[in-house]
Amino acid sequence: MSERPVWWQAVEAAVGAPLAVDAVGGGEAVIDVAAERLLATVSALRQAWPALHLTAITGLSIGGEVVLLYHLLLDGGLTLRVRCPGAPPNAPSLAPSWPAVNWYEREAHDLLGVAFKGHPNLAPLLVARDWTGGPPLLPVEGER
Amino acid sequence: MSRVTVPIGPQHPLLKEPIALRLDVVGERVVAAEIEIGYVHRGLERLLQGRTFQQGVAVVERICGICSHAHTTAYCQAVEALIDVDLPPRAAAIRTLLCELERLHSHLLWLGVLSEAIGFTTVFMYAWRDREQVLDAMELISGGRIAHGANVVGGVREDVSPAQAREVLTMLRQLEMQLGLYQELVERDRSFHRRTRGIAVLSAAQVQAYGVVGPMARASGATLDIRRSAPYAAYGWLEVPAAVTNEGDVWARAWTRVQELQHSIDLCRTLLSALPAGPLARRVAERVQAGEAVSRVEAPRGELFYYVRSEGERTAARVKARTPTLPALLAMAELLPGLQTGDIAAVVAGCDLCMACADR
Amino acid sequence: MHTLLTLGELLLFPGLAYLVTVALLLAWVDRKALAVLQGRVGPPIYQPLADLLKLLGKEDLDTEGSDARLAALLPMISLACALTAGLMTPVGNHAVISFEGDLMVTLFLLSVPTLGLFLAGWIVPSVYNMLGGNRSLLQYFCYEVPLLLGLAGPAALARTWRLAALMSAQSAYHWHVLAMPVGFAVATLGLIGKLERVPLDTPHAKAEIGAGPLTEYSGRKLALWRLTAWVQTLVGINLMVAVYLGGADVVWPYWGFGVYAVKVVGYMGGLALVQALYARLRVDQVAEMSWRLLVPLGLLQLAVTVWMGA
Repeated sequence: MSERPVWWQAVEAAVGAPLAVDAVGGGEAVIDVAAERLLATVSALRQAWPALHLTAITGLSIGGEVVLLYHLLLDGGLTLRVRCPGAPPNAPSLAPSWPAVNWYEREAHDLLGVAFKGHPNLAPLLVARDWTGGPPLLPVEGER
Repeated sequence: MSRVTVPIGPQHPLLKEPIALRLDVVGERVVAAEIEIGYVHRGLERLLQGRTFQQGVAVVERICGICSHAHTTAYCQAVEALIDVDLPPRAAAIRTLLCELERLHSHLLWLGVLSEAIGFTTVFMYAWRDREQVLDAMELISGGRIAHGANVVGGVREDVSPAQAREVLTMLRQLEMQLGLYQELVERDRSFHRRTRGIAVLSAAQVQAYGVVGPMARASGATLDIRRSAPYAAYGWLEVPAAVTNEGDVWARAWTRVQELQHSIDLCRTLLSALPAGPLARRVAERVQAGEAVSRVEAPRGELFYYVRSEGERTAARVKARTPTLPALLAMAELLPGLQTGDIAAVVAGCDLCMACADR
Repeated sequence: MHTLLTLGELLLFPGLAYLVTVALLLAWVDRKALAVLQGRVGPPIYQPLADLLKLLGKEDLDTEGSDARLAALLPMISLACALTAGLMTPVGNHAVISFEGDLMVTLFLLSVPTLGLFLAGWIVPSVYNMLGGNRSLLQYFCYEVPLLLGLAGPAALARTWRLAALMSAQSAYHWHVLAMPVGFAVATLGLIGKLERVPLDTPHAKAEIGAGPLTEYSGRKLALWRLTAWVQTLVGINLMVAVYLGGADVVWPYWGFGVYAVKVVGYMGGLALVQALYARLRVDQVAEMSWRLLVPLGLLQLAVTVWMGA
């Protein structure tokens, strides 16, 4: 990228360190954000651009560790990558200040077992209410 | 007066797909609403993890019956971005043509469902009769009325011959003549207005807060339309008009979609008369290099998002779909309290929910 | 001999057998007319009969927590009242029973099924039944008055409360619908409300509350309720044709029945047209239309009639 995108300065300020940006196919950028700084980063972005739109929260398991991707839409796409180590994986919840993320976090909790601290109601969203197996997208021992 | 819980769903004459609404009603007014989904959760994202990307197209297509082509378009686009392959222009145009035809059939379906919900059976019959023409056109081009199987990673499977193009143009002309009826319905029919005006107003702030997308957001003043803001497929050279209004009530959501009907017909016509020449698809290897990609598409209900990830294997490592019905459901949960019971049907049907999309 | 004739009239024509048969035929006319208006094909002529027979063969459940005996009794009483009302309305130019004041008795008998429907919903402990029953009762209060007012106009003009006399009075001057079109409209809307047809079918608004008061009913009870609704429709239309549209126009005594039949079918088609043209009204809009529009208009029409006749 020759030109810095619109969000560069604001995000750098919020993250508190120079940005290391990966590119992701589709013309979007990915930034690594530590779980502790997630709330601050998102607040900074929302303050700078009130029209910020969160498209999705993708939860995935990379090499046994759960990673959350926050896909934002703002004059082009921007993804925040948050690593959630630990068992169960932990992340701060954005739901109290941003109602839009409420169900996305519930879904990540259902499918990957992520515990969102501060979420008002982390009840199962998709998975059957009497499901006894583990989070469906978390790889099981011996499975790929 | 006593408080009664009216259960709407999972099975109810109003709903086309299972969703559980638990409405607390005092007299004729709703005081609280709870929504539960997950009744058609099929674990499709998990299913996709054991499949090659090409096999995944067939699975993705069946996430939803109404917007199946939008799903495969978004998915194929994401994989094509991952592989970094260029979509041939003819393939892009045919994909876009089917996208717009799908928007037509989806909006006509929704119009029928809304009319049935408010007791206007005549409009339901007319809308679904007209929808049959669109489905016939899609079957002519692709071989399927819904799950078309038109998209492959790298392009499209079937071509559109000049004879087929002519037939579809004829169908579009006939459909356009019927559109006058729906325009009149939305603009002048007092019976329709009485059941939709001023009901369940969604403010622009709420659209922001809940991340509502699609015609539901455009009915409340938002301008987000992926076809205009981040053009994909053939939208780069098409002029997509905006159907935006500010009222935010059920009527506004109806008006937006009826305008989009006309816009879709115009777009289809432009595409059919200017289909670029060229190959239908690029050859794509089965083994995909490691990487990740996203794509966004304007499905009939709004922004449809796909994320795909490969770790250098034959099979997909992760496929994630975010469908536009999810924020609509969040917003609906806020709109239901305070309604009269007689308006529940109009609001629920007016939100154009697709539970198969939401649950995956 | 006289007894045999009377029995024949009561049971065959224009009594029980006729009423039930024509109710089924008229229900078909309704559905076929609606289908044609909506661009569909519509059912074959034996469809209402087939529906009825099929329902009679289905399992008749007793809902837990409801009064089984009352649930079984209500449709029977309602059907009996509707059929009895039918005996008093003129068929062609002849009614089985006719006496001064039979218009009032007919209207009273026709209101029993509506109350029965409300009770049928009320006794079942299900939300949909209860809500439907409530709406049914509200609609009853809203639409009996316009219907009565609408029918009182011609009665005032012809100075009689006897249906046969009301009918024959029209051949002396002209059809009542020409003298008081407003009253006709008010009475028709009152009838639509009473029969719970679109746009006034909110008590059994399928998309909102299932089948309203009859949600938990099935089998024989539901069959009897359906038949009651169809007989009510026939009797209501008979009433309107006799009072407003000249009935059998006794000037042509030999063609009397044919003329009457054409009018009945035409009126049914008119009701189907109204059903096709409008969306359902919400329950508060129903009450609003009745008290703010129909009742004042009905009163006005009645006042004008009385003043002009005096």
